[in-house]
Amino acid sequence: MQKTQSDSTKPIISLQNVGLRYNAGPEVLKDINLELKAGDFYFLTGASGAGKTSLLKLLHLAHKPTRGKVKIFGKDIDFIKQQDMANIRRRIGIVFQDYHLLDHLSVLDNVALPLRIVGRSERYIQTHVPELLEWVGLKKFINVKPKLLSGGQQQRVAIARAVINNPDILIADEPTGNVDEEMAKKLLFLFLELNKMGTTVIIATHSTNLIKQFHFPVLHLQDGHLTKE
Amino acid sequence: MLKTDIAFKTDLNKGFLPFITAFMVFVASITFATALIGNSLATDWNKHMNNNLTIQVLPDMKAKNPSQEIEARINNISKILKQTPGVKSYYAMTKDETVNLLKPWLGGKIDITLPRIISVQTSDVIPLNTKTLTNEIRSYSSLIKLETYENWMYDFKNTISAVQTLLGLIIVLILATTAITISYATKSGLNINRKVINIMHMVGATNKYISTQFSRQMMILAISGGFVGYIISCLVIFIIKTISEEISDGIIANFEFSSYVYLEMLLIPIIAGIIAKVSAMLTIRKELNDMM
Ligand SMILES: Nc1ncnc2c1ncn2[C@@H]1O[C@H](COP(=O)(O)OP(=O)(O)OP(=O)(O)O)[C@@H](O)[C@H]1O
Ligand SMILES: [Mg+2]
Repeated sequence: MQKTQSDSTKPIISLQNVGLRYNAGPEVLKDINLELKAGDFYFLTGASGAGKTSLLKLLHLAHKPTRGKVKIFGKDIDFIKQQDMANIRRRIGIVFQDYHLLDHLSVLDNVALPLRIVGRSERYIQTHVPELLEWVGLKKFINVKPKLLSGGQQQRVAIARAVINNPDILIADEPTGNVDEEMAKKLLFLFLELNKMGTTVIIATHSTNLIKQFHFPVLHLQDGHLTKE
Repeated sequence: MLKTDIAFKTDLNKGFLPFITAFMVFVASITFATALIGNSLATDWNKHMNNNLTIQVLPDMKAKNPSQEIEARINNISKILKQTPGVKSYYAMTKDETVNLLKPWLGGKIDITLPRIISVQTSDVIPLNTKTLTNEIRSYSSLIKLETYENWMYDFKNTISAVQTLLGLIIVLILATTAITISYATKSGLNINRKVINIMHMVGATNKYISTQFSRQMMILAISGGFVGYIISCLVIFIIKTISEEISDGIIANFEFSSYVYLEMLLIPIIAGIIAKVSAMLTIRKELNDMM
């Protein structure tokens, strides 16, 4: 499936002189300038507490910057209406660092959530979700509640939910932090597949191994400043 | 059961909400049934009594021959009745019948002229103008008493409709309380589900989607509770009816009402469900907008 955002010259996300502070705390992100184009693939690194999760939050509209401009799909997020916000979020797949799964729903229902929200048919859901779950090695756990899964298994549920609706942007916060190297590689290949079909991918990771194996540009966060390596 | 995609965590409401709606629906249904039964009693009695009318013909003691005079008057009144539209039938008790009726009190031999009674059955179809009839008979003779139940029924009807208005007010109050209760339950439900709602927002759910899902769940809880309340109130009414029939054994034969009452009472849990849906919806919309 070809992405709608095929114009590769126009940035899909852009941050201009962005700063972020939580409440009255210190500025955790300073003067961030970043442009992501359709089909880009980036790693995001930085020490623990450097602000990786904070930066990703800005990218998926979970937080507004305290200063500067954020544009997504060409829209200034300061002037986005509720319905547009929902539409934009449907085009973004997010793997949260702490998964954010719904404990009271089965694995299948968790992964199906983005599809149900956009009104996909139950038939579509019952064929595509199990397929993807098999791919991430969770076929046996389709009807299990997330709380009964290991950390790595939950992480894969979160990944499946993020990619199920074939998003234009995939934002993954330490998506392989809890799985073995073999599985980490497999999951990276999944992201690569999406990327080949046009999805813009940004992955926060501590794993130098992955960064070495996949030759993608690296964004580095230090003292609130973002540098490209 | 309807399929809900999200199945919000409603642990807190799971017991509370159905219980409270069961109780509210029970009270409202009993009240509603009382009003309905009152209504059917009133119309029933109304019918019975309106169809009857008694004319007392008193003897004229100043007449030369009161006993003959009274027969003549009864004949004339009968003629008037025959020509009056709205009179279905009438029966003038004969002298012998009257004497027989009073024998136990007055003994076998009665010399005085007794008052006589004409009982009139009025028509269901053609309305009888009792005023005209009264005037007509009175103009002919003043020694006549006409007993209709109209005056009495008028008071009775007024009382009934006042009670019914009161009952209606009680029902409205109960339903309003239900709405407020559900609104509060919804608020607490939203608080428990804050994380869930947050995640839903993150994956692109609109407020409309979330509120639809959530209020549907509240409605299911309310309807299931309301149905229980309905069943219980039906049982209670059925038991009261059975017992009262046994005790009175036909004396209060009028405590008969059609089984439609049970059907009509079904309105209450349905209304409760709709109220749950609407008040949950309004609460969620407001809360979600405040959340953003
Ligand atoms: N909700 C919050 N409220 C206040 N401060 C916060 C909040 N979230 C993060 N911070 C602060 O912002 C800074 C950056 O946190 P962030 O989670 O972005 O780091 P990170 O790079 O993702 O770290 P890690 O690698 O451990 O996940 C930290 O100092 C943290 O204390
Ligand atoms: Mg983090």
